[in-house]
Amino acid sequence: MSELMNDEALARLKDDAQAQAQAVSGQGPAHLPDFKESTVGTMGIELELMVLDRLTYDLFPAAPDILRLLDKHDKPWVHTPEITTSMLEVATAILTSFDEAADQLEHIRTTVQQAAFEVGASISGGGAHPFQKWNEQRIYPKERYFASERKFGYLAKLFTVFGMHVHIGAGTPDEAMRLCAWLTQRAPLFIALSANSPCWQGEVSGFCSSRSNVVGAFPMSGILPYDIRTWDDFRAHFDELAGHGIVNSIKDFYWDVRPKPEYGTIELRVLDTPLKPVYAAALACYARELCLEWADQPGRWPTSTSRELYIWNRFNAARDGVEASFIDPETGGSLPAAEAIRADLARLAQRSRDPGFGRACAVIEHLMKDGGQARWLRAHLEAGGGMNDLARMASELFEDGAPLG
Amino acid sequence: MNDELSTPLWLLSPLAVLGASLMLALVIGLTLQRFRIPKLYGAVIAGLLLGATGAGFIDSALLTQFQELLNGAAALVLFEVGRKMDLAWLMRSGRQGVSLLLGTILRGIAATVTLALLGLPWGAAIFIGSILIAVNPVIFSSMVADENASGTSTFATANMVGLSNFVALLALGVTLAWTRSRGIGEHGDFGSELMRQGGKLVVGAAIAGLSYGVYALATRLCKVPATLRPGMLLAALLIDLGLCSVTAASALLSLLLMGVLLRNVEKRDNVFQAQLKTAQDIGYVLLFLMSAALVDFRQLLHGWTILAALAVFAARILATRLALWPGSAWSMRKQNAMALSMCSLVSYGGLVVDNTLNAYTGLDPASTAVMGALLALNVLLAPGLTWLGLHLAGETYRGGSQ
Repeated sequence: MSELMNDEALARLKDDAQAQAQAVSGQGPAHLPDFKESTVGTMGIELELMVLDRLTYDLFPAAPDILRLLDKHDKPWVHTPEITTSMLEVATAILTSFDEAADQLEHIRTTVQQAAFEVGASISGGGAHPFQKWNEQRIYPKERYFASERKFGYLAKLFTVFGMHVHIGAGTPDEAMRLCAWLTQRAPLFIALSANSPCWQGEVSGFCSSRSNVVGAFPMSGILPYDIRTWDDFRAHFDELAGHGIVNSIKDFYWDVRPKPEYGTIELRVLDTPLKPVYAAALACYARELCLEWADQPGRWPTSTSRELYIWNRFNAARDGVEASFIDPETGGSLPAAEAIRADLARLAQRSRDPGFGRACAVIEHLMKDGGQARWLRAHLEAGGGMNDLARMASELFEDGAPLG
Repeated sequence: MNDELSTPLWLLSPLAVLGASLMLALVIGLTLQRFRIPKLYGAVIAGLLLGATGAGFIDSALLTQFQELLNGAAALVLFEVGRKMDLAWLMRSGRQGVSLLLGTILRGIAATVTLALLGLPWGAAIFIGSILIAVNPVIFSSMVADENASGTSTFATANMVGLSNFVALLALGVTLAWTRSRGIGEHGDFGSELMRQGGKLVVGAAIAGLSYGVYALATRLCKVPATLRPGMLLAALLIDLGLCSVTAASALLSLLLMGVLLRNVEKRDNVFQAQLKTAQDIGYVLLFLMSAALVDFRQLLHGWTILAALAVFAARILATRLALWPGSAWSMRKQNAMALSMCSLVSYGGLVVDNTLNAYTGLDPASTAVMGALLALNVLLAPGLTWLGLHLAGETYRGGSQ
């Protein structure tokens, strides 16, 4: 009997996955899978990486070849294409600590770098390529991406930006909605810490994270509406939008923090891909510890429901990086983002059960030195480096493997 | 007085003839491009119409007057070939670098053996085979630029173009010394000929080092981004070419090395993108126009030489494809595409880049006829096959929606 149940459950899961895949590719009806139960505080990290020409350090359409080589590797993490052929995405297995995350990301770095070198390319972190031209990018030859291009026009190519997504196990579907609301409030701090895209289409943009502004062009960008408090609320919201033909799957929500039902996680999506893998591990652990802290306060919701306050914090963080000011939505007080981050880290360090969290805090402290990653890049420009050289510098930072750089 | 002039005035100006030829090549080429036919065929058609096959306006005598200009165009192309050579990748990519080197060597061997089997004397077969190691940089670079090709096989092929020209140059040094030492006329023994040919290469390399040094110094004195200093680069290339010309050094090696040095030695902001692109584009058309003009199409219609040339073409493509087999970075489709993209060949003059565009005259009539047929086929077939290879690799791009 239990074997039969298992078979039934497996078949249901398979059907669900198929329906989801068809909805995502636009080939089937709208579908929102059931929220999968998960362990609170587990995490996964997705990185979108740049594929670069080894001569000019411009974007290089070699992702299909690199992915073909990565297919031959037996590894605990996965690799997938992205919307254009100069991008590739890697995603870790489920992780539970900073050390595990740092080790796996380092393995990813060396493996991807080796595959890229084999085909004559370089790999780099960073949220936006400093001088690529959006109209020169080539859509990845896959129906899903062609459908995106038909739907979004030039925005599809403009979306050649490189983000880091952090998945955090949320436990139950309703708890996922509550943690989404909390993490959304703190999302600007992650924009500030990860900001490393000071140039856009060959110009200094005046923003530390130019990438953050690109996402805003999509109609379903933004944040989880504050009135959604349960999974059923979210499902009703999804059904309404699907009824209008606005969304077809969870992937159509470009929210800064969104639930990811098939993984049982919430997904923080605001970060620029860091310049070094270890930065990604540290930032993911920061997000995870915040979620664990909120998970220990059941039933508590953020007090502020001001969308404008969030947008203002987000704008400041994208413009000024770790030197931004931050209005704490809970207290209403304005303070430097770096101060808010340090206060969070000090509080979280007291309660963290991750033996590596202290090291993660040290990495984050490093990320706030000298104005953070975006300022480091700007300093290189101010010292006389050109845009190509900036891309080279970022690539060498990513590829050198030294822990902090 | 005027009545006595039977030739139109503009035909007396070699510069006007050259300008008109270039205009015709561009008009035909750009028109063809609208129908998705490679632009380089504009130069082929213009060359055939105006050169030895057609009206005879462009001939060796006229080209001699523009030797410096043509050498300048060649300089831009060869520099670009050198700049595309990624030494670190070639040496550390394992199977990839080895398969490209193997392809280079096998191509020469395949051509030599085929020519010998076709009845050419072994000496001539080896001499021609050493020239046929090289892939034509004008055809490849021009096609890549026109078709906006970019990707892993284009990258590897660009490396192979440089590598093949370099190896061909070394091989030619030896075979030329050997041929000259046994040929008609005055030349010395093999040892002294080898020293003479080797000396040209050494001096060429030294000139490259000197010119690169001048460029590096100039860029450090004037700290501006690379995009603002294309003139300095052009100046350094002209110095290089000029010094090679007066010392009879190997300009091909020297210009290749200039590119290689800029690519592999210079670290800071050395990445030149489109600054020389316009000049290079004109260079491609000009050089190919001249190649086409020197082809006498009627020669192809005589005898067995066309079949021999086709056999050599096929043997080179097959040998290259075979050598790429161990390369793990490229799919089967890309390997096929690369073998096609590397089908073009160069003339003796193209490798030597000296004061003559004419073929080497020390060969027997049969070998000379085969070489002529090979160059004619190169003009007619190679651009199309290279174009096909780039498209087969799926690395060309025209912009817009898919």
